[in-house]
Amino acid sequence: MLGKRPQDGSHQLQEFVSELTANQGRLRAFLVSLMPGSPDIGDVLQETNIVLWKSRSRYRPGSNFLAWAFTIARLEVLHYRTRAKRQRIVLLSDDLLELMAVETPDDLDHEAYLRALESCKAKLPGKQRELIDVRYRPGYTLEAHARDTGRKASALRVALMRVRESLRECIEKSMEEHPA
Amino acid sequence: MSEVPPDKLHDRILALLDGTLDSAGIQQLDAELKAGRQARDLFRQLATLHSALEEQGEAKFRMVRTLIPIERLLADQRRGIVRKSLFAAAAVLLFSALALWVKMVPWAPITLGEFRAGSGAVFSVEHSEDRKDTAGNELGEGSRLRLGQGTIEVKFDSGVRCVLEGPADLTILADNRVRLPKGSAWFEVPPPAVGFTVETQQLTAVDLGTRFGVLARSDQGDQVHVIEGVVAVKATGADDDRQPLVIKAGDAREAMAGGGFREIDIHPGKFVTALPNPITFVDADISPATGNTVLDGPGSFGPTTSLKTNSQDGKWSIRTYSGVVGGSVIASGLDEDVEPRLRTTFRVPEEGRYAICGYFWNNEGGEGSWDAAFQLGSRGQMKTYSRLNAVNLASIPEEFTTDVPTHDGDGPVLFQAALGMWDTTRDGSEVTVFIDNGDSGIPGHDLRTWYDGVGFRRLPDH
Repeated sequence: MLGKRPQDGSHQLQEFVSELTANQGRLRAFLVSLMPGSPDIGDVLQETNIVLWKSRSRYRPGSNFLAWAFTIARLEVLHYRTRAKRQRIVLLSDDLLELMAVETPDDLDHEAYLRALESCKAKLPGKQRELIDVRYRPGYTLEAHARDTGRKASALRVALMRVRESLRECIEKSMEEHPA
Repeated sequence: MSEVPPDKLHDRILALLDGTLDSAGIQQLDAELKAGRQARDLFRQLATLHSALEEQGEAKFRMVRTLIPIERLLADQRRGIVRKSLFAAAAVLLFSALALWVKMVPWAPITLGEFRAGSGAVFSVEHSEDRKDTAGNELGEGSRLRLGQGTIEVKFDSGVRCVLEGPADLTILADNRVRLPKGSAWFEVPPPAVGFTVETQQLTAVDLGTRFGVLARSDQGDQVHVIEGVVAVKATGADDDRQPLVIKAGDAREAMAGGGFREIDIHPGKFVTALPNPITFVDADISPATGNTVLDGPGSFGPTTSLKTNSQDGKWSIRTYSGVVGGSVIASGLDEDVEPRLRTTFRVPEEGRYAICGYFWNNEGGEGSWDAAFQLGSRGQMKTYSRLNAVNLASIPEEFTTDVPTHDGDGPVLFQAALGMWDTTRDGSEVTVFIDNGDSGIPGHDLRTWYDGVGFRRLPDH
């Protein structure tokens, strides 16, 4: 009747779960950079999480979790690319991907980044903020928004690119001024 | 695909991230990115921004992303193991990456755990309608424990252990979710049960694998004290997309009116972490050489007597009394001070901290008021105990490892005086208690003392 105490090293597993949950944003951004525009990013992220979970006994508290997770994510991306190539999906080249993976820093403070994003978004004019919200609202498209507002989708798309570029510049400036 | 091919690098990157860049554009971008580090840095920055905006969008519209689907665990693990740990494992893995908030999956209506009440606990248990036949100390979904006083330990099948201190009110909502509108509760959550959630009126606390205490109070802010690990808390009624506050080991927070939390000092001692151990009663024995109790100074014991008012010779006497079951007592006279005091010495069985008690008889409701004075160790001070600051054992059904004297009629009752704490690392393994006849000053009292023995209870290690 009574539950049995688990046999896992509690501290180690606790640290592992904390790292796994805390680094989802970084892991996701890493995958976005390796498979840009793919609708399968969520699936590859899940696969990466599963491999990490199965390998959790290898994790040592205090070690660089993100570097380890990136390595596993790269392998999962390679599996994805093999499948995608079979489907003749045009991808960025393998060489470039390798370069991108190697150059990705594993010390970006994701929480600080999100705070900077919030701050920069808050500085945007209302229309631009709305455009961002529309673009990143799950299940809603710029095309639908164009129909709803009577505007041209192409014009919205161009405007969106400008807004994101200004957001990027604002965030990079903010991160430089307030390093973690 | 884009109607007009983007003519700037960052536009091409964004189009790629949006999935709207055509094959030619991808090849052009590939070459540009290979050619320069700056281009790759720009790409990485835009990819990070794109990902973060997607994260925020999901959080804003309350999408909870499953980190690892449960069915994959089912497929990957032996079913026998999973059945027991499925719920807990699901809780570990169902965290939304942004909000760390858990959505619970309904679980079959089976028994989820059981409870054990500490001695002296006054409580009631209610079960939901479909569980009205729940037996004994089993608990299921909807079971509610209302604890007036004392302590109760709940053990969930998931491995979670909770110690509740009354007055408290706890309802089991699911295998790893409870509601605590009132009371003090301490939780120990093993790793597979990470995600265990405690709801109070003012906050929701999600465990990330830890030991923590929750104090739910109707008149003040609810508190969370994290002894080990990490706990995420969120104010009740806060927006779903508001980030939970993460409390680390050694920290504590109190909910404030308006939804925020303020930092407070952690007090692990506020929480009972285990049911109290039973008390071992040590009968006072003045047998020469083998006894544990002697006169603490020159003098002699008076003659053994069964007289109602024993000898008026200023000496302690062995007293028997009709109705007292469990041996004799060491008694002083009716209205005389006795010299010298008594000293009882005994050893505790192992290293640790112990609560030490003294036992004396009180003629509660009868003639006079019989008191006793005790001093724990040579560093303590002699203090008089009466019915005002000691407890009638008959009113707190304390658990003992040994037989305790009782009275089988309407005569005197045995009282328990809490003398203090004995720490073997500081005080040694041999405990000394000094006993004198008491003078409480209660109207109608006399100087009579019936001393019967001492007791010790092992306290939990912190």
